Amino acid sequence: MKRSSVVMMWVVLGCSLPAMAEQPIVPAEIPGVVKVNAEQVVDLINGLPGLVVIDSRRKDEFENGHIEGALNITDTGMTPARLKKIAPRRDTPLLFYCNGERCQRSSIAAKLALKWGYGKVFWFRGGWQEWSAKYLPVSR
Amino acid sequence: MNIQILSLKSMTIGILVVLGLLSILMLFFTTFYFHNAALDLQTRSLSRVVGVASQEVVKQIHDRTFALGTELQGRGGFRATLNRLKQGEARAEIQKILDDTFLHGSSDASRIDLVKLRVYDPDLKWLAESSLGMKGLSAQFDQVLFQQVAVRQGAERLKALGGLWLSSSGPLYSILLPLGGLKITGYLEVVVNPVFNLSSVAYMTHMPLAIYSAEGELLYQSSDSSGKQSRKTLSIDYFLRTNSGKTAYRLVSLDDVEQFNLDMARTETIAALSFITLIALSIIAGLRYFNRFLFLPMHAMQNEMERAVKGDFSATVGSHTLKEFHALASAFNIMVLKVADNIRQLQQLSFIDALTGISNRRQFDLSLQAEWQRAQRSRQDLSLIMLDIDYFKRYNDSYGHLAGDDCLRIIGATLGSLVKRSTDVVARYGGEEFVVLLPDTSAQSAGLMAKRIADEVARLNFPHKASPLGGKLTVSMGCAACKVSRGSKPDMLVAAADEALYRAKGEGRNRYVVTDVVEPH
Repeated sequence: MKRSSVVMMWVVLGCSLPAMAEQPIVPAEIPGVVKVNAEQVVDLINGLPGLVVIDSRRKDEFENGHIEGALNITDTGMTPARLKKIAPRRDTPLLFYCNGERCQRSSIAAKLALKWGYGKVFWFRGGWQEWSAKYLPVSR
Repeated sequence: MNIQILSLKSMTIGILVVLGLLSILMLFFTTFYFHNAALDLQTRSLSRVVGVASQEVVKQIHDRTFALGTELQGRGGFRATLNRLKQGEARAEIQKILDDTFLHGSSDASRIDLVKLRVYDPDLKWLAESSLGMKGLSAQFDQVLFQQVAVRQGAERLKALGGLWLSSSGPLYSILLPLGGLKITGYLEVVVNPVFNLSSVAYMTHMPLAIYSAEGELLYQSSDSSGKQSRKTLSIDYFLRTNSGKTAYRLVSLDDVEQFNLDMARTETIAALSFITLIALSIIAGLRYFNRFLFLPMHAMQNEMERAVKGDFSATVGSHTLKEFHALASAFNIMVLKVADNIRQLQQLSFIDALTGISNRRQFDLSLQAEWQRAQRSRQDLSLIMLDIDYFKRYNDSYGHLAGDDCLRIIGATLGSLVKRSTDVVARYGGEEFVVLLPDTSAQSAGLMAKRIADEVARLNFPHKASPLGGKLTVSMGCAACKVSRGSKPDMLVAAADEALYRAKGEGRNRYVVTDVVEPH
């Protein structure tokens, strides 16, 4: 193969990497998990007693603004014991969210909760991006 | 108008030139409209740019007022004070909190022109407002916005709504934020003057900007904006409207179109020069084409016609030309051939004796003249036989004139059959007289010819009951021959032959007399 062809291949590959990085990578649906939007989140908070809202973002992001009443537990910091501490019963409804459609944290956390036996898991896929865009109340 | 003074060539040139001028006129006309259409397109495009920038600024205002409201209600003690306010207490405390935003500001407050902060209960009933900010705003609010907020249900009630509205002091922007988080305990209205932020449209669009109120009052003008439109600038208007659809602001951006005008002028010049060159080349090519295939053939045809008028029918018009003139030239050539043929036939008819079919007196005179001159040059003999039918008047009286005509025809045919040489001429001289012109023939040979004629007439054995010469048709002949010399005239030969005929008649008819003419020197 000629040297120019190799250079061209690397140039094309280099140009395509940023585009690949911007693709949404969270799943559209998570089996066993109920996907909700911002308005449904409000309805759940107001209409589902015992709902635990878990913000899976980093701490600084959480402190900058979050949904009122949400707890900040990142996906990497979530353990069965820690989850059991805030939701002792497996039928406790849990709602996970993070930054939005390109943030994997909440989807990972929701899958973990499902895996650990929680049966009422909700996933706010639009996350903080959707919440802010709809100018819903921000808690700090 | 006397159209006859115009030639085909001048008319063709005139039409081409007029078409060229009209085309150039159309070019400038089209260019004018193209220029205006381009400017309109530019205006519409830039208007969309200004519109997008303006809407982006309005969104920024909404974001910043929302952030300010969120930050304000997050301050310590705000919620508790608000609860007390609803019970009719702590109005001064809440006003202090609101005024602090004006006095101490915040990162969000510094990026907007804060006009007023007002607090309402969940039913949008006024509770308190900042003492600082714009005066005279009390009891003024955006009714449309409040109505929109009031009719919402469910989660929609938690969303902050905002919009432009018209106060007595001019257009303002208000946002209504629910207080109390997810359980509404009231509303906070943040009122700002949008002009502060709208001025950034100039930076976003890189165009000088002026902002006017709906009444036309100048509210803002960027430093690089003269506010006046000139030939070098393009004015772009964009209207920002309130929630109720009324005009809140008129944004006027000025775009520098000097380069655009220069580009257009250059394009127009290039197009005009190209078009004019094309027209000129078309006219030249058209004239060359017409000249070759129309004007020159027509000129040649005219010359040929003039030659034909003068009697020269040998000329034919060249037909290598356009279709119509090719047909015309062909028709002309055919016409010339037919005219020449008709003339030839007429000429022949004018030299032929209608009764006998042999040459007439005119042809004989011409032939005698020509042969006389030829004989002069060649110094050869020329003979003439003059023949008269004997007692022809009696023949007519006896048999009738029709029979007399037949008799003349027979004599003419007999003479014609005896004369073999192409140069010999047999003609009816008049009445019952015939002549035979014999070039290069001596008197002796002429006499032999006369004898042959007499023998042939006798052999015809043509009845003539009124003739005293045996009841048969006979002829008398006078033969004259001479050597032609310069200065002599053919009449001399005719006179000599006539005299010889007279002598033959005098000697009893049915005979011939030969005489050799001696010219006087």
